[in-house]
Amino acid sequence: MADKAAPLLDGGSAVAKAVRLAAKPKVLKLTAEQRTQAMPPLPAVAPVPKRRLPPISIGKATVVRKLRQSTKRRDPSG
Amino acid sequence: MTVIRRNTDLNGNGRSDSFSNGWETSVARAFDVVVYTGNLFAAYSVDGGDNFQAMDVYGLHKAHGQNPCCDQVVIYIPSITQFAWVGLTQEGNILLALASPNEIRDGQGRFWTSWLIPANQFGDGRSTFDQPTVAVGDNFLYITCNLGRVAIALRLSIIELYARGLIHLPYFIAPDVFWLRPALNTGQIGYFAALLGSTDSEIRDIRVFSWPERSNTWAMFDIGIQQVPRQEGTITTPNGTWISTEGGNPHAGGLQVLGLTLTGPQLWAAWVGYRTITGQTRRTFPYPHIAIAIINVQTRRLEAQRYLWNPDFAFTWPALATNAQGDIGLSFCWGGEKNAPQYGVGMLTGRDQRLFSVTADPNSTAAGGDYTTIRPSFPDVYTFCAAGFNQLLPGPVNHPRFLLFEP
Repeated sequence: MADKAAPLLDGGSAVAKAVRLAAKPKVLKLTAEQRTQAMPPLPAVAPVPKRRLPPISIGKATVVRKLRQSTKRRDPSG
Repeated sequence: MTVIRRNTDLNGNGRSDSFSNGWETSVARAFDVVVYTGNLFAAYSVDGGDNFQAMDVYGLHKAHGQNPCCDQVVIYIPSITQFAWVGLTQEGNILLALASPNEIRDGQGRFWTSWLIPANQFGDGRSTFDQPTVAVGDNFLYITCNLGRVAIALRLSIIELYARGLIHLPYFIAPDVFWLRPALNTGQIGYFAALLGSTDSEIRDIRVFSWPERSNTWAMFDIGIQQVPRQEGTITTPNGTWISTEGGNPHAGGLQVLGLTLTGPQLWAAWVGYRTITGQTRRTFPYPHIAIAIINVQTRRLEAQRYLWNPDFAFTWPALATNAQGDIGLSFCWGGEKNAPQYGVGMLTGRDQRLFSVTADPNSTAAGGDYTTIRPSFPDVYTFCAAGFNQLLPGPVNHPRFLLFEP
């Protein structure tokens, strides 16, 4: 689709109101163990395909590393 | 090497009823002040995220004659040193509240300046808002949401917000899309994106909207992507079905751009793809996965498309953010036949591109949500804060997580 520039719509305005909320003394007291439970870092859960795309085909062609717009479309029926 | 600085379970230590409505988690952090929201709770921390105290969501809404519904989201606006807290009311309007880190610390989270944004001032005047999301540019706070059956993008002047008086509400209706996401880390141009297609149709394009901050017009262009697998999105885990797409029930994450952030000229958009392309019998992916398109907004070309996938479990609920170094962080959920649903964070660029599971509960029955969040942690150069949850038996009970990590 070609560019389409369009004007804005006007939703009017809104007025500020200062509010004072009720105090909520509900404090969560965590143990030291809970505060630090992920230090050092946990092991990775999965390989992140860095510069390696899934060895699974999509449509006709195998997934390519860099997908330029000019070659982006593929026929899903194939 | 990525280091997890904080991993706080807001319902930890047996306080399993404190923030049990921990769906749709969102978070922002500035200095040692953290604001955290869920569907129907809000909390703040003044010690960097170790301890959280509840804030009065009902009181905030009551001040405007509204009742809280859900879909709360929070973001920090560095240029005016303010947190923006946005929520959806049962009446279908949006409530926005602002407070500085000092006000939150000194006032114990009680003092906010707020605005009611009535849905009847938009569109046909009869539709209601749903699912607001937020982003910050140089001069505007952006809010996208559903308005009835359409999506709108709204921007609020940061100067007007800082003056805490009258704010104006210019917006546009995004054609042909329903789920619209604003990009994080935009500067002089606000960007928005949506997958172009509906539940039943093929998705082969992303529609990108640009809204220059000095302009009163917006524009859009479409970017072709590899066809999104839209069949077989169900995820089953050892504790039952986590996400079901049976009977045409859509997994919302499969219909929309959930993560959107800008780094340099690159717009990174993330969504969830299922296993199989419509009309094909062979599975393209063994499990639902996270797909990412990297779009150059200057050349308007797709630079690359990436997939986070695994043969043994699903990736879902992505959120993206950019830190001050320009690196992209990810917040996500994962799980499969042999793995209970869990929440995780990681990096997509930079030297350490690993993903970390930050929960490891075998009794987890669910995780995720539309508002799984990641944000740069102000004023840190590298650090991200993130929010997600998993749901643990017995109960099950939601356990919202606050994460702070540094690549």
